[in-house]
Amino acid sequence: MTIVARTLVSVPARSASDTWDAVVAMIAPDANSPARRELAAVAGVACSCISDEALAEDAIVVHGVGPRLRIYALYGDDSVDGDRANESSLSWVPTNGDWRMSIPCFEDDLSWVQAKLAKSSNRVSARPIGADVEGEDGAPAAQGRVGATQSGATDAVDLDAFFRR
Amino acid sequence: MTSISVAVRSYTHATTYVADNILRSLKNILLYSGLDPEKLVDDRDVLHRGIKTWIDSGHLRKVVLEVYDPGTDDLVGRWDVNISYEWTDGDGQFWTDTDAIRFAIKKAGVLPSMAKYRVVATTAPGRADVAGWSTTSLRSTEGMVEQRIGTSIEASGLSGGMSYYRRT
Repeated sequence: MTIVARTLVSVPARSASDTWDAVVAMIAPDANSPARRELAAVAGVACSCISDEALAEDAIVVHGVGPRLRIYALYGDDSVDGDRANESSLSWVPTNGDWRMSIPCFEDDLSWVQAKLAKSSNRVSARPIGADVEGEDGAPAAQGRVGATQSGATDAVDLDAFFRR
Repeated sequence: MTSISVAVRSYTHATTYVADNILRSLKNILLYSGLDPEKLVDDRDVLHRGIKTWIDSGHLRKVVLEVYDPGTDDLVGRWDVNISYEWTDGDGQFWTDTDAIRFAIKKAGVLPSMAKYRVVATTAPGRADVAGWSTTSLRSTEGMVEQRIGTSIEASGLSGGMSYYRRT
């Protein structure tokens, strides 16, 4: 499995809404795509998780099309100086096909977040921070994946997640 | 050679932080009080636009979360975030005290699950109109007493002081 990571600046350099807009622009660059409508339907819940700083602990994972994408966020002074940010554009469109998204969420919020997402989207779901995403083979999500090789794919090192710890 | 990185915080960073964390705090109040934050989340864009606009201009005095009985329209609970404009461009910190809210709710108790809620902003004269917001009046707090928690949102002196009302 090939994994690609990006790290966006968030609150206070960007509001949670602007952070979500940056996520959407990155993974669904066509403003008229079906993915844009799907992502717009879950914007409020996603912003709530971003505002809770869940993305400092674990990543939004987008999978199903091309490499698995892990999106983290920087908060506080880290977001203002932005040294650890990596917002470079992707070489593929992760929502161009049968894609899925998993949003990390604190335990206190998990019940209402999952219920709300279930009403709004068939593709976007929430998981507890640190939990595996489908196909991640049991390694704790927040620890990243170092040197994992599956299905004959190229070795992948999620360096961002690796150095984060 | 030692490289030193200094994060330069602006007033815009402070207003963004406070606006975002007011909504985060209101969400937590609803959640810890046993109410569904779905409506707050659905209205997030409008709420954030108003709160951010009026903090930016210095007109926002307080944000009020009113929780009321839909049958009688009477207030059953209320939380206020009072804005203090003492921002300095020094070495202040950004922090939000979610534990203080959780502790206060343990003392105040959960709210009736059938209760409804709304968010009201109290502003100084001369504020700009913001789409999605309309003029209203706050519900009576007669028979209730205000309990101050203290500063729970802080961004280099621009801060939000929290208080709640309970029945005497």
